[in-house]
Amino acid sequence: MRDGTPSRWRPERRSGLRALLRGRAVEREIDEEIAFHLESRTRQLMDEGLTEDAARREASRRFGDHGHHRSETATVERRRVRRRLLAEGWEAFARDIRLAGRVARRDPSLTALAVAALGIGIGVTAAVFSVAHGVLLRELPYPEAERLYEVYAADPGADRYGLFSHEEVVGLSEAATPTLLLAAHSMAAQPATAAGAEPTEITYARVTERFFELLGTPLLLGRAPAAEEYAEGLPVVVLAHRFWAGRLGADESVVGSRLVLGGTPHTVIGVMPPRFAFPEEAALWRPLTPDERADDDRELHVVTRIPAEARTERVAAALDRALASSQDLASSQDLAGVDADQRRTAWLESARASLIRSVRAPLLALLGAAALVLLVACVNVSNLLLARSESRRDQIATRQALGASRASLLRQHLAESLVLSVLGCGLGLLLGQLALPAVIGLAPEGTPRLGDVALDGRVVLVMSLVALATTVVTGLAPALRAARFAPAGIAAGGRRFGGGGTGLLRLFMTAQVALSTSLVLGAALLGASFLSLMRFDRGFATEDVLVLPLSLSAASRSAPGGAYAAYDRIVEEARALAGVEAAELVYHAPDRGRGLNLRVFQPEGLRLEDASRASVMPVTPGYFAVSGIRLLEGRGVEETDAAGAPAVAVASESFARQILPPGPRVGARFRHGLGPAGAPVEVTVVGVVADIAPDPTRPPDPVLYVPHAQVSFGYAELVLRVRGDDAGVLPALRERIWAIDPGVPLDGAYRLERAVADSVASPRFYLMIVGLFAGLAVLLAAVGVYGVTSYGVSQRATEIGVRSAMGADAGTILRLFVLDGLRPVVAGIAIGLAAAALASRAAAGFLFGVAPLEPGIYSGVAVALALVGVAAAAVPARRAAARDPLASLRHE
Amino acid sequence: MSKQRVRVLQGTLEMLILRSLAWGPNHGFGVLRHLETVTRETLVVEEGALYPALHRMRAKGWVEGEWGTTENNRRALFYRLTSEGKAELRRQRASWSVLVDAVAAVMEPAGA
Repeated sequence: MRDGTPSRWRPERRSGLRALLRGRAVEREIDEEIAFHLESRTRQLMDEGLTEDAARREASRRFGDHGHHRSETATVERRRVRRRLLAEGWEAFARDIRLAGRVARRDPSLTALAVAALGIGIGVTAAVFSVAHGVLLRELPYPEAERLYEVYAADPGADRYGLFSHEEVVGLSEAATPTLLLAAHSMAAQPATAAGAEPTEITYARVTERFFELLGTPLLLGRAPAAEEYAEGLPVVVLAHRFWAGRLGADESVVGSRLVLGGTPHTVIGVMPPRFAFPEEAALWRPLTPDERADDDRELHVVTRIPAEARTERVAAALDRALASSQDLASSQDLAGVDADQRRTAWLESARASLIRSVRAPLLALLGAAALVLLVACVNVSNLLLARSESRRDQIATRQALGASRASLLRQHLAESLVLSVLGCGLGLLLGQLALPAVIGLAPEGTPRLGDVALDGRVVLVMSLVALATTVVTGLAPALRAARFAPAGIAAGGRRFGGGGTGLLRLFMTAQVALSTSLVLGAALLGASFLSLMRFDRGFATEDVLVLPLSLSAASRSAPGGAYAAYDRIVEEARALAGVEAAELVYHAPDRGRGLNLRVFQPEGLRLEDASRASVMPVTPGYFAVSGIRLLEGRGVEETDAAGAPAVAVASESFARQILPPGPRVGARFRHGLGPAGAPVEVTVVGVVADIAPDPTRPPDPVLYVPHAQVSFGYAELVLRVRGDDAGVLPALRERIWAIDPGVPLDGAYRLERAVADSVASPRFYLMIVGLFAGLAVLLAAVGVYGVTSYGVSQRATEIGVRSAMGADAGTILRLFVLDGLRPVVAGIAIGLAAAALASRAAAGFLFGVAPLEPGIYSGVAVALALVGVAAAAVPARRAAARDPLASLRHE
Repeated sequence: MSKQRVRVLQGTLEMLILRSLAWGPNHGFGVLRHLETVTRETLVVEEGALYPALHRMRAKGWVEGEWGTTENNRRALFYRLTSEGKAELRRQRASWSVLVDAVAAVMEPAGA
């Protein structure tokens, strides 16, 4: 039997498929199909003569297990519908994308602009995120590094990051268990000479037992120090890969060789692999000597590896108890006991957090700035798309009238922004990859973990997610707006002036200008801060001053005349060199500005309550002249202040103010232990000089200058004033100094200007990046203002024509459009300034010598941005004004 | 009703459905009736098994379905062959004739 077949076979629609998956629609259809079958069979059997009852039973029997067939069919059908829906969805998506691709190709200038904007936004974000990811987020390159913690002592009311004395470390070690490891290290700098290599000044770490075991990285060559080498502090060293490869030519036979460190021969017993850098700047590691352990200065960093499941609070509590009992022990020997709430408490910070502490806030701020650029780019693209969909209004209304659903219009618009986002993301990743080496290269020296920075898979993944987000951000407003165009719009005929879409355009323009204003203001504040850092009077001259740190070898110290003789000869040789105008000695050159702790010399007759920062600095007579330190009162150090002459001193301004006893400053007398062999001597202050402040963000250290001939700490730096180019001076000097003492490292010479420039490397870096971001944001915003004004001009062509026909001159029309464009710009600037003012409080920590609310900067930024806005609006407005009125009217 | 009857071989049901639909679109019961008529009711199919088979073929894209109305004005799901279904029918028919020849060669060797 053949029945009448359906007249139309339609492909299944998404809505129909979707309806099938709701509730038990599939089962209902199948039930209907089966019911039809049973009914048809029953009727056929009845036609053959069976009773209705018998026919029904027979039909059911022939059908078989009803429930089984029904559920199997339902399973098959459900799976079919789901797959079909997925395929349909994919096809619809592919169709949308193809169409979006065509739209993008048809309007190449808009596409290029949007992709460039998004590319810039994603590019800067990718570059900064790569750095943030490598520096802040990635785990340290040690086995189970998440179990590594630094231990600090919080001083009540003072430093949270207090270090420990060796005695305290011994106390803390009471809390150690086989799974809770504890080790300490402190940094030192000394000249090192390896066999066949030039001497060099290195920074290295002195470590306690279990240091290497605790970090868990296997050595590349050789072995770590053994227990008895730690116990006796034997002279053995483990080299950092950087030092081994950079200085010793990666020579594998280095294990077992000798290396003179600080005048003492050491044996190299091992080399660490490349990424082992704990602490980052260490060139080598050696056991702490018994002498160093006896020192009660608190300069040991303590690091711990906690057990796998241990809670940090419990470990910290255990360490704190151990520290407390060691303090009780120490204080019981003191006269006054330590108050419970005054004692130092131990706490833990993860080793990673500890390492990145100083860069965390600035990097997050940069990430925020990059995100602002991206946001400006998004708003920009959103505006471009909005303007385009406004101008495609008729087309969209037609499509709607032809039955395109709102959902499909929405999808189509989002597909268009997805195409732009994907292209922008590709461009951005490329730009980020290109910019990254520059960012790393410009990063201030000492930024931790730059070696771990890379634009890798995870960065690409995150940026892809960001691109998806930008799709929504850029596409949603135009899409929603387009989906709301009424088909009646064209029926009503003609275009209206302005309209809701234009309002949204202006709103976005305002947002864009506001965001860039905040960025520009941030850059301007950083710029002003940087300028005041550069202009700050540090109290010493930097031009043409060369500094040469001179660590004498043990041999020349023990030669007749000792260090004095060697230093005198070096100064004489230096003065005799062509190109050298002056050569003097000082304990530490002015860019470091601190001598040896004054307290060490037990002075009497001074106000010492507040003098923990005061230090002693031996200098030769011409030092103040050569370094440009101004004499304020009395006299400086002179040749007559020789070894046997009465002890004299020159105080720095803040030393005189804070530490000298009240009364006349020149002529003040006090006693200190700076005589030969630490003997107490009576000292007379003969002069006062101006303070030096190498770090403008900190108050100057009080300094007591003493004659090098009377007080020497066995170390000095040569300060040279050279004539112009110093290229010839150094090699000649090197030859002469090595003739006197071949063990002096001479690779540490530097120009004072360089050192001062380096000291502001971080603010300069942040200024450059934020400045670049601000520039990009302004560029994008200007393009946005230009775009919106052009769009407005094109939309109001008729109006312009009418106005010119009525006799308005070009100037009037120009003003009309510029003023029109300027309103959202001004609003944006106002909002941006207000937002920046609110945020600037948090940024105060990054600023020096400039108030976060400096009115001059705010008004300057406002005027500058308003000018940019006028310029961006004037270009299309001029074009409108120059147009032939008749042509404009014909345009409709 | 003394005719000898055989069960449909495993795997041949789909081929039979394809062949039946090659005559034109039909609903499930119609396909079954067609098979009965052509084979003079010598073939036994568990009727319920027809439906999972039809839907599976629909999922593979060999047939498509559309609800229509029968002569008796009843709603029924009609199936028709797609071009993929036609191609599949050609493939199955070819391998079927190879199988028949092979089985025949074994069961009734030439010259036996």
